[in-house]
Amino acid sequence: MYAYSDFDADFVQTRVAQFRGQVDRRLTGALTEEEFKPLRLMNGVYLQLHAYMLRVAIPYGTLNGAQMRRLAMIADRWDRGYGHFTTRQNIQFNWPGLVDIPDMLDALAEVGMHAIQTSGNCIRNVTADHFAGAAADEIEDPRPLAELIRQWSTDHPEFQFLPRKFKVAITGAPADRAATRAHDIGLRMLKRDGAPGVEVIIGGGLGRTPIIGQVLRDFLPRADLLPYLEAILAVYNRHGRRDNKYKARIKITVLENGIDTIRTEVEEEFLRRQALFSGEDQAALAAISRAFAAPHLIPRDAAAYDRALADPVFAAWAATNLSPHRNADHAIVTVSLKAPGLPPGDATSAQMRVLADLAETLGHDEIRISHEQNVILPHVARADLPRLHIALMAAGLATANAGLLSDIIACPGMDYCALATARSIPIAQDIATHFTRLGLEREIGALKIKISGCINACGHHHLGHIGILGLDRAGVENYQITLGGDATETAAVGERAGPGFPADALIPALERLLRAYLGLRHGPDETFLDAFRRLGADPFRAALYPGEVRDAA
Amino acid sequence: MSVARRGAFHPAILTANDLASGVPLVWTSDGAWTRDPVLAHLFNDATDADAAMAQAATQGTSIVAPYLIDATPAPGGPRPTVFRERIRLTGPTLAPN
Repeated sequence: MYAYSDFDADFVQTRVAQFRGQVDRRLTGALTEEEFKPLRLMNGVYLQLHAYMLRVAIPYGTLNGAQMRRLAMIADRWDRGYGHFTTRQNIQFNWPGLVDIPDMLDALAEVGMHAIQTSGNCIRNVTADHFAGAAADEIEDPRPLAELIRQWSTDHPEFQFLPRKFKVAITGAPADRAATRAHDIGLRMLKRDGAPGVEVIIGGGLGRTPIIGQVLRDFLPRADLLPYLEAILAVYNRHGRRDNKYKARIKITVLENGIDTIRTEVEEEFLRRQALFSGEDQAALAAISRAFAAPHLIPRDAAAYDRALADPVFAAWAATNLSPHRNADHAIVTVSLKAPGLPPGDATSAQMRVLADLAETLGHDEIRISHEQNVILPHVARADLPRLHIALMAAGLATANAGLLSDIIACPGMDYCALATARSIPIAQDIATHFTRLGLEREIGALKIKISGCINACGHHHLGHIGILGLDRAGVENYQITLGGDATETAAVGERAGPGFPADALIPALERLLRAYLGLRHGPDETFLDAFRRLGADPFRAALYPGEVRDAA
Repeated sequence: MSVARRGAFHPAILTANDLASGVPLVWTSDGAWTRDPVLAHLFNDATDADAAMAQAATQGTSIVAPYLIDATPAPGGPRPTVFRERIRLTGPTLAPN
């Protein structure tokens, strides 16, 4: 994986020293809170409900054992012994003191990590397919391009004060595991006549106006990526609304101007920008690509794996938490951070150390964080999986639920977040606990439940097969359900089912909904989303609102 | 976050966050800050509340973002009327992991 150059290391250390001075000046009163707030946000520091929060970028979701171990050390030394992995491949520490944050950032810088551009109206952490570099269906590893974008966008002087925050996601596989159509820019790597390129999608986003992105260019030669991105950002900078923050994202710019007008302007701007690039970016990309060379995987006999499948506990875990690797004798392991009853996406420092050790001993020192708030070990020999599973069980990390009902995405919600209108995590905990107790999870099969504690939609609720949005209705938490959302290459925004439910009525409503699905489906192979697409919302609405007088039509 | 307060005065407590640690604080009857919400002073009078706010506004090197939150008298200290503020003062509602 990419290792910091001297330039990167100096740059990050300089930023930490600068921020340390800013914190000192704030504490002595030389800076007011009004002056300090934009400075702390540029370094990923928020003031939440109970404490400051530090959001650390995990670029394109990739880290190694030493970095994971450092996150554990930070959690123990300056926080409360755990961290929260987010839907944007970041980690958030919920309890740091302001006075300690410069030391935390120094500790991160020592292992090539930072919190730069994890907040503010700039280009945020570039996210990528969490199976990148390993997936059987992959055309090309997207991480070299993601790293190129990270380097280009970090402190880019033209794009530090955009109309609003700007999120880029990239995938190198036809199966979209990076939710590219829900990003300001989504990039899908392709090949045309053997030549590498990308499909460029713009104007996707969630929040109060959820929109699926549209294709701006169906094939862009890979070498043109940076000038083309610059052209998009320049057009957005020109036309993006600065008068109303709710209309400031590029999705609204595209909506108001039309994709054809935006395309015309981007293509004109692209020609100007392209002329200014003289090849340094391609030289940088070549060097970056060498850093992402795939690990040398030695062919292994998988007999131990086949024998272990006789153990029902191992077999259940293998059935849900393993994904096809490009080498058939290896597997991609999803380590679930969704143990029913515990906060989705949280890992203790002890668990982080176990993951670091396992990555180093059995996984070629590679770890990924998924936007679904799980940890991925992308290169594990099938022969080593029984051993890995035993170690995960001992650490409380062997929950066999990847892709099932209790593998819930949930934002921090009102238990932590200053923006939230309702709680998310306790709802996720209750849902997971309830359906696990019922024993229906495996029968229900593939299901994505996503929960947001406010309209900003950090929990991607619009993209959940079942989405849950927590709102404040006259001082009482109320939960709206959306149905039929999809984050993948068949992306769709879920439809609102009807009036919301108070917290104590939500789980009975979900149980009615899912029992109705079990009765309606053609068989176990027809997922909830497939059944919803075949039948439409009506039978599911009827299950959610059984007492409702229905329109005879 | 500051809360705009218009119209008739409702009983309220004064809160802020500690600058160095970020933890939420409440203003006591002794005119000091504490982390213990049980000790919050319930203002029943706009003049007193405004005076405390004015004093808090001069404490920018120790606290952040002072504001008043509506509360009602209750055994064990004033109770914020909005659940967000109750969670803010008492901590996450989920079990620690």
